[in-house]
Amino acid sequence: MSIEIKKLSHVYMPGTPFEARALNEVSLNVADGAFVGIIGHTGSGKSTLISYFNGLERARTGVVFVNGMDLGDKETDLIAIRRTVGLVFQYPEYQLFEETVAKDIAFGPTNLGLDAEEVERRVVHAMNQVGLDASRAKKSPFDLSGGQKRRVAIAGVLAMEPQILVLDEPAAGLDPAGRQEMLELIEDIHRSGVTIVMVSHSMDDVGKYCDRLFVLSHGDIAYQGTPAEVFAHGDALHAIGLDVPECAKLAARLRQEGFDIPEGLYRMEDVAGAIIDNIGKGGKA
Amino acid sequence: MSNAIIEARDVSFRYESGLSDAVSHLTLRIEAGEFVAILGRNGCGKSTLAKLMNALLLPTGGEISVNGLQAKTEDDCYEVRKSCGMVFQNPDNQIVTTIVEEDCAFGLENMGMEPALIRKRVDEALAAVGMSEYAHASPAMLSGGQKQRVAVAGVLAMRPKIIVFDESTAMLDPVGRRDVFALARQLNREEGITIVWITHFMEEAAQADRVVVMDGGRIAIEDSPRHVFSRMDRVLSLGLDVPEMMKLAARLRASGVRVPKDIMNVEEMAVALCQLRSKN
Amino acid sequence: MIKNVTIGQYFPGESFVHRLDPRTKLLATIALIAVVFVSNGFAGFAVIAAFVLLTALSTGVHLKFLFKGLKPIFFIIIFTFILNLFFQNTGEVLVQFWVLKITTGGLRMASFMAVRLILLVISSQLLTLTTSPISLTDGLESLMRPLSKIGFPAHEIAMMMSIALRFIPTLMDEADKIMKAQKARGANFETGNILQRAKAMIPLLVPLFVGAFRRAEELALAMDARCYRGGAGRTRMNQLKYTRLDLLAALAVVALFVAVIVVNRVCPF
Repeated sequence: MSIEIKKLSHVYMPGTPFEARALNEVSLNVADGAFVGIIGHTGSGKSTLISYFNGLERARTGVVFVNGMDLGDKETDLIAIRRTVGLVFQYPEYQLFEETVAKDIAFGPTNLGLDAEEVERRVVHAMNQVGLDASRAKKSPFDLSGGQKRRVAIAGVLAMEPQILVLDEPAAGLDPAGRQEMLELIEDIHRSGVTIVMVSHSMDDVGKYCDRLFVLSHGDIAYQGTPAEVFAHGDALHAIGLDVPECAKLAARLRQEGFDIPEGLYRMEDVAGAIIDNIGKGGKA
Repeated sequence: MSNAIIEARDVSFRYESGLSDAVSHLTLRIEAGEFVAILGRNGCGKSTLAKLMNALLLPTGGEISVNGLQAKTEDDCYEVRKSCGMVFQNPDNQIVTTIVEEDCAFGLENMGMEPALIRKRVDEALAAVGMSEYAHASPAMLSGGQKQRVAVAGVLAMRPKIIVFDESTAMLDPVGRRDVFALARQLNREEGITIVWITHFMEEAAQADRVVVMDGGRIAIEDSPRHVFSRMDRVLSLGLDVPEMMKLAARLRASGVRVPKDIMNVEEMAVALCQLRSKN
Repeated sequence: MIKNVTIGQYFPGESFVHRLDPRTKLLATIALIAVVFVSNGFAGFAVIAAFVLLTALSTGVHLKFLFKGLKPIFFIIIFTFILNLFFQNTGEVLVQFWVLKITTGGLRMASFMAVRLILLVISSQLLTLTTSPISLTDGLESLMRPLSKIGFPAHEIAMMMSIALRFIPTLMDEADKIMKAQKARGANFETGNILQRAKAMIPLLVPLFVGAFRRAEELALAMDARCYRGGAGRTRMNQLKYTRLDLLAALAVVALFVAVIVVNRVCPF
């Protein structure tokens, strides 16, 4: 088990009139090698939750274990935590600060105390991973396009070679082609053996890539399970302002019309297959 | 012809630092009362076009007239901005004051309007966007969607004929996004305000009267959403996406299921499939 | 969280003082400062202190906030006190060791200066506690307006202050986010000597400044789009209006002046 959270609660500004409960006895597990999706609105507590994943917040009520390390324990080595869990925040391009792309990417690994040679190797590797051309290494990150900047920022976290990568809305604000490329990039990173936790608003995106979903609502985990299990709650999800993928909606609609579509289909290829089974190579008649 | 509220003829614009035109020989007519969506990948010139409509930029070639006025002098620009309001992408960077209603008054104050009249217009505008109860709140306490509604109210109070939304939903969550989009549609239908809606979200564009797809500073496609999206390969090659149901339709057609290729949403797909089934 | 730090120290309320026009409060504060300087003895100070404390009590603001403002200048008060204590050598000698001696004159002067400083701070504290930053800005703009005839940028200064107030929470929030992001990349803001800590701030400050400039550019554009052309010809929705309360406040301040001048004469201690 790579991440294990039990009954984690978080209260903002306790004891003041602004007191607000951001997390309410949340429990969740992320298995080694999984691609997990966390879905919820602004204010659902998801950003607070992910800051616990690498010790930016220390658990006061509840426990957070990452690869057996207790993140609530002040004795736990922060560097070891940061080596294990990489965190990419929303709009990560706004954290770039160095003169060159290579120097910016080197910031993380240097902080881990690695020697120059190893840092250099990791920078080259990370740039390669996110598809940044080596010729960009000496450029200023501020001269790049928005999408490229975001890749630099992600490379900066990848260069710390985390076993678990947590991304908060990695595709936000990109154009459709940019979104697609970003999600494929994350899928590639996953395939290289990194456990992925992706926070997203888009049910279509998490449906396509994740194998396990957690739906957060007002600090509680409202639903969890495989995408099929979660999407089965279509109406309830709609009530908390979330949607299910279009194909899952169509499957539900067709079932109402008497089509024989198995429960739990949400991928386009599966739904298309079921429709073809119903209609045959229809229309030819 | 006389109903064009925005008319761009062979308009070009090049930034001082630019190597090529950001908008290049573009001709476009927008009718009064239309809801037009503008799509295109990042850097295709849509934001530049938006700023040309609002006289925040003046064309370096060709001409653009907005509400019958071609901006030449600074005073003209001012008149154009009165008739063509603009809502930007980042809700945090377009609210000027620390109190919602004062921000809403900002444009009217700049126009030198009588205080009593400003008060009336501000109250009306806040009511129109459903933010009356937040009139005395600080913008810092509002959600992204609420901030965008305040920004809309600030523009609305100036009673523009046209409102340009430059990716105004890009930074919002799905609820805020739906909210702001619905508000724009309502203003279009009920108040007759012409809307230019720049977006990356296909499901929004699918609901517009007309879609303009830009590429390299020019117009690549211009048609009804249904016609635009049914040219799936072309649209994908322009770095855009098409509605999921249209992709499904293509997949089904490839397997011999003869659904129409211009299906836009779940409902249309369900109806088409039911018809096919009854034929068999 | 950083963003919840209150800006300024305004305490919302509905008291007499809260409802005064900000211009009245600004002018009254200036008058109060002047009267502190007019007073030449402790008797005058006692009158002023009584006035300030009574006013403060009437606002409903807890007195501890009134004195909180003294904390940052505590050192200056002590320093002034000690300086005057040892270097003013008039009157009887009270204590003497080595070259230093404390005299009655020195003691009086030292206490006089310290009380004066305390009264100055508390008086201005009263203003900021009962006036929101935004109405302070409005008041300042209105008071400075006549100066714009001689080229003083009254409107611009007020607009700058108001935009700064608007963006402080936004930038605080952004600083918090950047700090978290850099910490996640192993940055260490907490330990090390002064030089190391200053260096550690670079990954926070550079993105913060870049972000602030980006925001400034976008805001300028958004202001242009809403027909902003500077202060000329601009009206305001909320006009400042003097009311009967302001007249009362003005009379109270005048009464204080007269009282202090009389006390100066009658009881010059």
